[in-house]
Parts: sequence; structure tokens; C-alpha cells
Amino acid sequence: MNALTNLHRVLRPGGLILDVQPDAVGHREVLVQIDGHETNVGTVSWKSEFLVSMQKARLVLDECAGNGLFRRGDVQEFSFREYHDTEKSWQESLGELFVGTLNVDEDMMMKARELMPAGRSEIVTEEGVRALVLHRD
Amino acid sequence: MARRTDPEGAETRVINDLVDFGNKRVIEIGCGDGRMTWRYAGRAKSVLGIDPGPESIAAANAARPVELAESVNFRVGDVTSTDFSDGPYDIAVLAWSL
Repeated sequence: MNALTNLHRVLRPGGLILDVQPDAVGHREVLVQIDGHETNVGTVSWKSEFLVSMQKARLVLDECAGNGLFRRGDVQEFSFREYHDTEKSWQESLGELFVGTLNVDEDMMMKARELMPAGRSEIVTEEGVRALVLHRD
Repeated sequence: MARRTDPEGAETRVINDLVDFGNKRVIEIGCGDGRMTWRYAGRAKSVLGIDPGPESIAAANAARPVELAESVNFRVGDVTSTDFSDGPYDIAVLAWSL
């Protein structure tokens, strides 16, 4: 709650918070796209401690609406996609952005590797994301 | 070898649909390498992005377009320890963080 109290302090009255974060499902779908056709090869899941942390953050945001600091505003959900033209690109992305936060299944990687050489292919990850507005009272 | 992030523009569409960034003073918490910053910064009056990772802030500074050099700044820090004396702000963006 300290973070939100601080944000209340630095926002002008009538200002707002835009919170954008992965949905509570806790995984990314992994697809291989070949010449525009997509095959789902599995999922990468958030590690449990990270998932708990995300869910706690969402709870804090949900609870702070109506507590006299912020009011809940509009919300939209959308699918967020990343495309990688090589396995190496994807692995580097996992290393740069998600080190220690995602479980990557080796069987899924094998499936992706088997499909990748056919045609013009990309690895696609897709995740549900929620964007929520909170208005400062 | 290349990565394309949200080429459909779903994130850009949603955040700009929910919030009018026009001429607003924005603080972005957990800005990382500025990936989300560039989706709205062109319309904002000013943006301060903060992130606890020095490497992320270096990457964000390196990626900043020349035309945003005066209006967008990045700083190492977090929401509980950063000095926000240059506030108040109109909008706080929590970019996959909290």
C-alpha cells in the first residue's frame, strides 16, 4: 500500500493511475506460426512466487478503489503478442525480460523446434493483459 | 534475428483509448527499457520513467528518439524511494509493475 499512498501524494487531485499488467491466469500461450498458419505448442507459466506477487498487486489495486484515495475507472482486457523469428531471439527475450519468473517446458521447446524449419516461421507468445484506470480522489 | 512486440498495436490502442495523454505530465513506474513509454510519450507534455534496474534505464536512454530528448527523462529508482519534488503529475503509469 505504500506505493499507492506515494502515488496519491505525487498525483494532482483529479489525476489518475493507469495500471497495465498480465491477467491472473498466469501463463503465456506459445504458438508457432508457419506461413501465417498457427499451431499451439504449449504454454510458459509464471513461477508460483511471481504469480502470487502479481495477484497480490492486483488485490492491492482492487482494494484501494473506494478507500478514499482512488476510485476505480474503466478497464479493458487485450491480448499481447510477441513474435520471434528464431528460437535464439525468443530465448534472449526470456533471459532479458523474464529471468527467474517463467517456467519453460523442454517438451514444448522440442515441439517448437520440430515445426520451426518448415516454411517462413515465427515463435509467437500470447498473453492476456488487463489495463485499469484508477482516479485520484 | 528479430523480435516484434505487439505489432498489432493492441497495447497502444487500449492505453490511448483509456487515457488522454495529451499535454499531460506523466510518471511511469517500472518503465524498464521504455517499451511502453514510446506508445504514449509523443502526446505527453513530459514523462519521467523510473525503474530499479540501471541497465534498463541505460537502454531506455539509448532508445529515446531525438525529438523526445527534452520531454522524456529516465531515472533509476522506485516509487517508495524516488524524490518526486518535480511533481505533481497528471498520470501515473504502472507498466507491468507494482
